[in-house]
Amino acid sequence: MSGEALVRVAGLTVTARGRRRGDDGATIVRDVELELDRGKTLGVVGESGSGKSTVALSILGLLGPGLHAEGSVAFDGRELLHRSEPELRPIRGAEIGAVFQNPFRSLNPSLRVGVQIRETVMLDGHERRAAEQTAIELLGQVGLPDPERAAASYPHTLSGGMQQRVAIALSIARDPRLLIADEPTTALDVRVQAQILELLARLVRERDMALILISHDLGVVASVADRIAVMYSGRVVESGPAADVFRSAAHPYSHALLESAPRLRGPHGLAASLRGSATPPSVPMDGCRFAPRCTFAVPRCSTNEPPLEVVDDRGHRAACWELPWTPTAHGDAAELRKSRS
Amino acid sequence: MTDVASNVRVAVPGATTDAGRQGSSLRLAFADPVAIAGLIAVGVVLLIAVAGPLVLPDPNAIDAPAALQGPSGAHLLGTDPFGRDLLSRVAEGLRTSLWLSALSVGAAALIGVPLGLIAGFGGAVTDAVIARVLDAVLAFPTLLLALFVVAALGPGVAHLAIALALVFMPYFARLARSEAQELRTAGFVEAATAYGTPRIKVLFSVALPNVLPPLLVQLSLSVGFAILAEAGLSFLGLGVRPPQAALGLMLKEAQDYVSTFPWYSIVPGVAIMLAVGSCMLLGEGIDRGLDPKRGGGFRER
Amino acid sequence: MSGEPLVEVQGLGKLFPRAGARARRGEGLWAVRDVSFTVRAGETVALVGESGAGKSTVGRCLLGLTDPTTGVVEVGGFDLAALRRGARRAHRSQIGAVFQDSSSSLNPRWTIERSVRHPLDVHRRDSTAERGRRVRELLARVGLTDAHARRVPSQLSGGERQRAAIARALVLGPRLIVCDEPTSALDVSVQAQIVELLMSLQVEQQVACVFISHDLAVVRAVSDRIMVMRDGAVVETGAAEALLAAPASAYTQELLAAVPDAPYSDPPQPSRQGVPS
Repeated sequence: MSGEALVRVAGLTVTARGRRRGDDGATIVRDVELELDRGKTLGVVGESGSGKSTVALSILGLLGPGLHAEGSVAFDGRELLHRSEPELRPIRGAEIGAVFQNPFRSLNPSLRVGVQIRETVMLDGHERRAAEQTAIELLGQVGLPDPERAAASYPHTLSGGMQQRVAIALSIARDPRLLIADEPTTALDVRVQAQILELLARLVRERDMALILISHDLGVVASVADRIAVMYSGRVVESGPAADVFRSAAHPYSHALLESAPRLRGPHGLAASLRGSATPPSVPMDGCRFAPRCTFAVPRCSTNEPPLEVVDDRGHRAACWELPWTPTAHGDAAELRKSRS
Repeated sequence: MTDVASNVRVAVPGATTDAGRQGSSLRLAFADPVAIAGLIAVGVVLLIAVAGPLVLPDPNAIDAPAALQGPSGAHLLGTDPFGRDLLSRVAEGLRTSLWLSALSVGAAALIGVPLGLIAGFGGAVTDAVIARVLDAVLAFPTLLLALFVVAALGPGVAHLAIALALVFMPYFARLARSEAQELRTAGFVEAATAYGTPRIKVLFSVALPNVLPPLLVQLSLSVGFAILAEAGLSFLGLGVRPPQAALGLMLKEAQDYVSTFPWYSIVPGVAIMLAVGSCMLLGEGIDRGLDPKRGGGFRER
Repeated sequence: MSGEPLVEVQGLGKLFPRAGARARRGEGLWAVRDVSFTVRAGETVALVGESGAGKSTVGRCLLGLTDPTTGVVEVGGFDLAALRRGARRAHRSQIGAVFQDSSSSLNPRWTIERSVRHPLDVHRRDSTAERGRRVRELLARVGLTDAHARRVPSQLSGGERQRAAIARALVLGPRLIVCDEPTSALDVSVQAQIVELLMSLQVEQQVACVFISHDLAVVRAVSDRIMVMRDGAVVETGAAEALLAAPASAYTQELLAAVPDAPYSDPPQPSRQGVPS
């Protein structure tokens, strides 16, 4: 897996330049490591301010002015960080597509949907007629019932779900090998959300495209991702195969997050197992950034920051001094929960 | 209205534990270099206008032999055809301009803002009526309308002030109306209604303080425009009348000497430019300082 | 939980007239159509549905922010829409409100203390000192310190702001609170805290709650009864657990099926106290 990775992010650190002189830049993301193989889906989970979107923007080379990235973002063996805009342009869009939370903002309100997709397809040198045909095919592929009619309509006449489908069609118009979807379903109703997730999973399968799905919603990520990275306060605190991370979360934060999620099935009630709120990544701090909220914290946790260490041989890693965690039966889990509360 | 005063007080002191994250809004505004420049410029203009008449020679003292002179030790900015000291006359003109503008713009704001708030918060009918009236006033070119009013009332400083107030009122009303429309559906305004705050209190104690920052900008810009309008109308002979000094009037008198003694035109011209420019600069500065994207604390969204 | 009926909604309808059309001609959009329900004292009833289902409009009618086009909304035996202005205002102290967006639901220029205190000032409750005491007490109860009380909303986190909004909703001692998506803008971990706080306060203060949400999982955790809405009409009503376990309508079934449920995890166990591997 290591040699073949399509995306390899290593030691990615993003800082915001200080507004005043002499002000050290505020850290937004630190030492992030991610790896994604061709045709696979990586879910990045985190709460607001955890830096998950910043990671996405770093890969896309879309960090705003005032943000500075260090480390390495390798895509298909090519380093993307510190490339100039003209150098990035042939990659972004053509090889890496992006879908964001608000589809309406990624569509041009004054151009017909079909025209927008056609123009995008034509960037690859296709002829107008052919591109028009491709646009309609793409709209069909993303599940719009009447592609011809959709192509002729303006974005605002479509529903939110339809708009997101169009945005997805636009993002895959140049047949990218990687799609980055940042909270693509957050603004949508549940039934539409389920459809969009299904669509994304299908596109990944059919086009052998890799997907980075960023979401705060564990359920959303769990339903599509092969691998998971959990972010907290600008760091990746746990990563590994989705099944492993969700079944036996190794980091106390991941576990508490799973426990806090309201559920439709299973035991009733909500476990508010996380007190307080996360320290923003910009606040300097010694030791593990989760330590102040962690039930398992030991003295060392507040003095030294734990590195991301291997939990097992399937690539499951976690940043916690109290590793390795060992899975227990469900009965023990309930008891442990009781004894903690 | 005591409530309003205390609202402002609440927001102004950076009564905070971490001043870095959110300092005082006004302090932030005036930490902006443009705002500081504007403040200094306005200060200089005010100083000339206020202190000038106290220390400078009488602006109406005629000294015929010294007519049409350039700058000298006795007359720092030279003299006009009657030998009157130009610096004294500019200071006097600035003073007239400034208080006239401030007065009329102040009146415009006092009438326009409540009108706009009522329109923005009121029912559809109230809003429609007020909005149409405002549109009608706004449809006239500013200067032309002022001209009509002064023509109807007759020339004179008081009438000019009324004309200017009328002309600038709709801008304040329109601004207050659009801010009010936005505030009307703001959560905290709805919440205040939901727990039973009387409407008038919602309007003036809950909403008005949130309209103040953009109003401050509008005030500053309007004073600048008013100075310009006053100069224009005085130039046309519809405002301040001789022998009182006014910048527009000075320009008019200087017309005949443009080719023989251009200095006479330059002095009041530059004075107008300075006065208007400083107001614009201040407005721009406040606006920048209050822009949330630059860290201004007034409107976070 | 089964107290006296507190809220009685009968045949509630709300028409938003199409621009230019006249309401009485019945043209426009019926955001709510013929909705009837009862909320008993101390009970939590959830209004669930997708966007545009009309659930927020029902909430606004309960709060008296919107007048119903048809039907009657009675809270504590009074119909807000039928009361005269003064009485209407006085009666509003019976109903508290918590909105979704805590950054806009608190006055950005007021301190937290002032925002929470304002309802007391408006209704001229108690003496000045007594008001201050009540506010401090309530703020402490929702987990905010004196330092929080002196700040303005932008200096607090989303969760802290929502705590303040809850304190404000309860400060007049209402019999009903209407919570419109109170946790939707919050992170998962904070959402759990806020829901827990709301539920414990509700029991403590014996206040009924109408909980409006699109999130079925959250609704399951908080409500006694659930009312599913679609396109302005009620699709299904029932006791929370029963309705979720065996939804009668196809629509509810569809909604439930679409929710991606969070996976379960075994709890981590530190090596020092754990089973040897």
